[in-house]
Amino acid sequence: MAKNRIRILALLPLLSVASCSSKGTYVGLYVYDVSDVFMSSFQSEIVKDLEDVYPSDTVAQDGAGSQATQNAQFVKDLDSGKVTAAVVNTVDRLASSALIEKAESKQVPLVFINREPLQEDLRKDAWSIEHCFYVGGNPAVEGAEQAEIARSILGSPSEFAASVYDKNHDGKIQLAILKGEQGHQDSEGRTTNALEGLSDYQVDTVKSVYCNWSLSQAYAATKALSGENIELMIANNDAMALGAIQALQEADAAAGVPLSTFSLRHYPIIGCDGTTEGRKAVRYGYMTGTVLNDYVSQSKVVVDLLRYLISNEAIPTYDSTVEVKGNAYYVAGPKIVAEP
Amino acid sequence: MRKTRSIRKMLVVPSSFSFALLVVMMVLTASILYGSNITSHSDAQMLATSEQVLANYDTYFKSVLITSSEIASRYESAPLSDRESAFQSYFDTVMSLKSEILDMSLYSATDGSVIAHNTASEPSGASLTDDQWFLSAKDNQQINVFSHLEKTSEDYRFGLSKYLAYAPDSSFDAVVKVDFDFTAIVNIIPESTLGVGGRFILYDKDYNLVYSPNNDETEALGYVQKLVIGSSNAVKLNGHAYYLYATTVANTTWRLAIFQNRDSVVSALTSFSVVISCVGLGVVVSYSFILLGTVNRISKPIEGLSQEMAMIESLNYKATLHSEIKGSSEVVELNRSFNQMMSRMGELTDDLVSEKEEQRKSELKALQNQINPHFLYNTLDSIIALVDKGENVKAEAMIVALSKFFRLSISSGHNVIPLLNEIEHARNYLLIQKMRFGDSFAFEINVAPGLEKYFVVKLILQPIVENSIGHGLKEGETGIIKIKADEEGDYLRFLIEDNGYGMTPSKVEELRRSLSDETVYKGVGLKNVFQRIRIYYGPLADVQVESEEDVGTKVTILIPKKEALHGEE
Repeated sequence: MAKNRIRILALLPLLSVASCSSKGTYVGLYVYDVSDVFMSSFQSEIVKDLEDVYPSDTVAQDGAGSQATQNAQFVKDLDSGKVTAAVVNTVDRLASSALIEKAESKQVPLVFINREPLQEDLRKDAWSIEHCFYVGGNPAVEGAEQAEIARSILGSPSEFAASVYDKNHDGKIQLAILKGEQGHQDSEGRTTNALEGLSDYQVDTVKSVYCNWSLSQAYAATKALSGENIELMIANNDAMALGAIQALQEADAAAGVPLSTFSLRHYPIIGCDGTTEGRKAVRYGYMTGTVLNDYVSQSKVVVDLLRYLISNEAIPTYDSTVEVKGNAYYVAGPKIVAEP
Repeated sequence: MRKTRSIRKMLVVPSSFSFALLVVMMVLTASILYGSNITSHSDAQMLATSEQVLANYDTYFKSVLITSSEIASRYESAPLSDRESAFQSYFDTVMSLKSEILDMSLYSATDGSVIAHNTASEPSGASLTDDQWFLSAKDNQQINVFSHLEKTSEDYRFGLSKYLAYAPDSSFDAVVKVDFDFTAIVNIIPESTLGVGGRFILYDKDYNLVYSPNNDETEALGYVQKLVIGSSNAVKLNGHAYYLYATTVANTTWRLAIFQNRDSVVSALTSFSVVISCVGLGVVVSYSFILLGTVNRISKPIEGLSQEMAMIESLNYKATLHSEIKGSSEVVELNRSFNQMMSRMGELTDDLVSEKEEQRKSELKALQNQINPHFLYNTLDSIIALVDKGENVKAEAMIVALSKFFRLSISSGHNVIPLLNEIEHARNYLLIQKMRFGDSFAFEINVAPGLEKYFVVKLILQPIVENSIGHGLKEGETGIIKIKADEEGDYLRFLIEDNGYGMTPSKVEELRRSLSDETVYKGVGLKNVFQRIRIYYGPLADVQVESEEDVGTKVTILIPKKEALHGEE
């Protein structure tokens, strides 16, 4: 014990020097997994936007898919006292309550992104109501827009049975759903709302499978579907839609069928997020459409909220594209379909 | 003595002190290094164990979640007809594959009625108002709800409930409940690996106890709440030291706190500190003793040397011969030189003493010889005169007296003679002189009884008597010369008194001074006596002169009695 005290005493001057030199504003940024294409773009956008307001060489900490790792990174930074505010993309949204508790003990305001804490955690006490926010896409709008894209292709429920898309002419849509991850608000929200948007059709969900936002898992799941009659595929994100497209393209290539006939031979595939690769696939006609998960706008909202939290600037207000519910800011993006 | 002590101090104190300082610094450094090493090492080990426990939990709950996802996927794509039997057989299949699942059942979200269940269980339906798992699942439709752990007689179990949306018709929404066996996960990490009192505790997000091997975790809770998540900390609980790791459990709202006993680390640190301190103390003490021994080997002989040197003051030149001094070669050499010097000094002193003795003897002889011829010529002249006058009887008596006188004078060559002989000698002298000077004076001799045993240096009375006759007698008056010998305290006292002219006080003073002044040659006889008794008896012997003009002169000779008990050896 005595030794610890000695060591602490020896470190005290260093600590004070360190805390002095980092007196400026530092925004911690924690991402669940930087190998996720969407989150990678999102975090770069935030870093870029932060440079204009709080230039502090923020580097995103990579949780690498482990909440324990992220916990350790978060606690280490907060305990070091260098963090003024933190932007957190949790690995597991259920861990948010612990992160809020820790942040409260250090009086560090938080903005969660992409993985939405439960409202009961976000608003668990007076401090968190004041200092914790969530910024993400609007899964309800995104799901509804995915449904709209489907409708514009499949025709109205009455027209569907006569269209080329009802391959087995039973009047029902044979639907496959590629879901992000269980418990993720976007995954569940997009799915629910897309299905709701199609509720006036007769929908027969052939397959609903969690692919954890992952291209390779979606690729495998799609391969497993070969032989099934699928008339529509809705994916919770572009990466999974691209995985499905890749599986179908490989099957075509194996059969010696040219790529140009892809959209005629296969079912409509609808993605979400509007990533660069996703939009390219839309342009080429492999993907029927996608919905922009507008991280550029979301990043602006994040920085606006940080300015409110750190510099006491006015709490931002937005037009109808940003829905505010409690401490959550849902930013809707437009749907992206191929130019006619 | 003071010098040697300061040598010891000079060497031992600063040297021991700086050595002790060095040892203390080494002990401190070692303790700190060892402490931080062992702490970081054990902390790393305990962190690894904690992460392993957490990984087990994550794996377990991932598997739980996959089961839940499978059910959800299946429900969304399941045809409405024949749900009951389809799910019952599905549940049975899952349970046959996954041994950790104890119970599976599906309820209608609208009224809580049972839709399907695994064959073995007998669910009675869900209450829409009471069953927390059911209500929570409906409130949080997107997430898996975990109910608290139940402990039954044979197992720990917890329930998972999940709301299942049926998109085409929400009136067919359902809630699935799966009971999992928690015993396996509890047993994966035996609590023995966490040490005495080591355990893990599960809390929900409001810190209600979900699982703990103990009933009361109030004290532990304090630490967990302080730590919240992620990092680790050393804590003390119920008198034990623990390493605490707290974090969230993925896919649940639960918090996991792992307490690992680190008493052994603490006691290792303590015992190391104690041992190294004892060793350090031992080293310092033995160093001091060795140093003290070495210094003693240097300082002891020097001390002995200095003691012997101190004996020079008491003129004991033989002192060095008694002791043999051991020590460093320098000191031995020093001692040898000192011994040589001392023995040389001793030799020189002995020579000096014997030389002085010889000198004294020869001087004594010479002084005695001074007397004789002077008197002899005078007496022989008197005898010649008596013979010339034809007074043969007188001449004969005088010759006899002279013969006795000389015999006593010579005394077979002895310097020291019996006291009575010396008196006799003076008497014969007086007789001779009385005859020579024609009875111009009378004399009395008184010897106190008991003086027979004493010996004195010869010829001490005769010169004084000679003076009395020569200078003391008044013309025309009958002089009286008295000789008295007696004891006075420690002294033999000889008194020679006359009633002659006496001397002026200044003359007496001059005479007294001349006695001890070797450059003055006055009163040859008196001075001669004084010098001789001083040579023989030392400073205690004395000659005193008292005189009064026209009254007489009194000379007292004092000789220490104890010096006069023996004749010449």
